[in-house]
Formats: sequence, structure tokens, C-alpha cells
Amino acid sequence: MTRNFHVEPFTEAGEASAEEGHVFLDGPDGVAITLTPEAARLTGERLIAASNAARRERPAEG
Amino acid sequence: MNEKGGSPDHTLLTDKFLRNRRGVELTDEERKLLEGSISEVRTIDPRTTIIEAGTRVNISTLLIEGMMSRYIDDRKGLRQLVAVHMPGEFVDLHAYPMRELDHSVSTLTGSTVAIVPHETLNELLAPRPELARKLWFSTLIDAAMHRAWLFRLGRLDALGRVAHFLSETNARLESVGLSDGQRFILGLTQADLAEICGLTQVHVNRVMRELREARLCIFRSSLVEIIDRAALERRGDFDPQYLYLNTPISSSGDMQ
Repeated sequence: MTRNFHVEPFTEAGEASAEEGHVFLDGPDGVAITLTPEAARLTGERLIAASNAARRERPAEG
Repeated sequence: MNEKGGSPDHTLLTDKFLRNRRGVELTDEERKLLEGSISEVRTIDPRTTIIEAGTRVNISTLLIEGMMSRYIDDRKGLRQLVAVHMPGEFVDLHAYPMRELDHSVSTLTGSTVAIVPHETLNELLAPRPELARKLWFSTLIDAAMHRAWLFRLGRLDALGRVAHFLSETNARLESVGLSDGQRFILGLTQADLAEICGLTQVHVNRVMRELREARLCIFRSSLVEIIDRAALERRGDFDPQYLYLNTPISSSGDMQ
């Protein structure tokens, strides 16, 4: 059976861009959302905080 | 909703039904019988809900002209279109065995429909299992399209979703003579495309510009012009197999 990589966490980051006062997040994969600048900023801050928390949860390498 | 008075003119109302579908073809007699099962023809204004989810129904609706949708609203009233129907398709034939719908049905554009009472279908189909199988086939094509729509929303990015929908629409309209394979009339707004593709309207607006700049397709003033069909289909990961279309499409209808 071929492993379904799509149910694994993504290793590629999404592409964020700004246009006409909106923030677009395209990818990874089928992610396609539009945010206001305020919602995008808050989402970004929450992502960074969650990313730091997730790193701390990982066992030390080596 | 307007109902046409007097006896309806049934000439060719079912002409587009199951046209150019692989593995199923209505005989002249079957088409005539189906024509005869139509009780009335109605014209319906754009953006009119004709069946609310959960309502019991005793008729099925064959779309003759225009575009219609099946939709589900979320608790906030935000709409997801779960199917779009084109001329020659029953929008709710599954209501015949199911008796009620789990979704609502609405016109997108001004539409003309033919009404087929379920009681008449009972009489028509009971002694004709082969015709029943053909009507079943048409609902199975609906199911195949639902699977493709799930794939579109689950796997494709914004550009891919719109490219897939436009490719599918082109193929379906081509099969009934309403696209020449490159150009077709699409009376939908960007808000409709957003509800179909699970995107925001501004995202659709951007995608349409990207499709234009990539010389794949132009959607302007209700006209879709596909510049590079193969590339558009590739970008949308579109494979028409699930539509069970004849290849090549026989051109028994003129583009309107």
C-alpha cells in the first residue's frame, strides 16, 4: 500500500500574498483562504506561538 | 414562478437529456414516452428557490434552459453550492425514489423547466426496467459529479478549483451543443463561482485574472473563452471520464 502523504503534516509552507487590501493564503495543498489584514496578522501571530509550542514538545534531537 | 397556460408544447423538451453519454442512449420510443410524461412547462425567475431542503416532493424537474443549483446553507446562512445543473439534466430525479431532498434547489439564471410527476413516472417505469435503468444512470452521473466536486474541494488550490469547474462546465455544455469546446455562455457571477469553489469572491476575482494572464481562459460579460483547453484541464486536474461522455461528441445540436 502506498503511503498517503496527504494525511501527514505538511512540510511545505503556504504562500501568503497581499492584493487590494486582502491577504491571500494559497497552499499548502488545497488551502485557499482570504483574510482581512487584521485577521491575517492575528493568525500569523497564533501560528508563530503554536509553532514555538510544538517545537518545545518535540524530544531533543541527537 | 410562471406557469405556461394551455397544453404545453413538448417538442424536443427532452432532446438534450442523456445526449452524448457513453453506455446509455434513449431510443426514440423512450424519448417520446418521457416527453409524454411531462405535465407542464414553467419559466422561473433567476435566484428562485423551488424546493427547500426537507420538503416532500412528488414531481421531478428537467431543466430545459438556464442554470440551476443544489445548495446547502450553514447555520449562519452562508451557502455552499453542491451541484450546478445545465440544460438536459434532471435537477432532482433522485427525489423520485427518495421522496424528499436533503438540500435545496434554486435557479441561478432565469430558467425553463419541464415538470414530471412521480405518479406518471411510476406508470412509465413499472413495465420498462430498461428505461428505469437509464434514468438511474442519469442520477449515477450526478453521483459521479459529486465525487469530482469532493475531489476539487479537498485536493485543489484556488486556481485549480476554478479551472476544474470551468473545464467540467465546458465538457457538459459541449455534450448538449451549448459550447463549441472553446466558448460558452455562463450566466454566473463571481459570487456564484465562490460558492461553488469554496473560495471568497475576491479570491475568485484574483484567480480569474491569473487564468487570463496565463492565457488559459477569459471570463467576461457572461462569456467564457478558453484559450488553451488542454492546459486549463491540466491545471484543474480535470479528467472528463467521470462524465461518461461519448468521444468524440456528436454535434447534433447547435451552439446557442
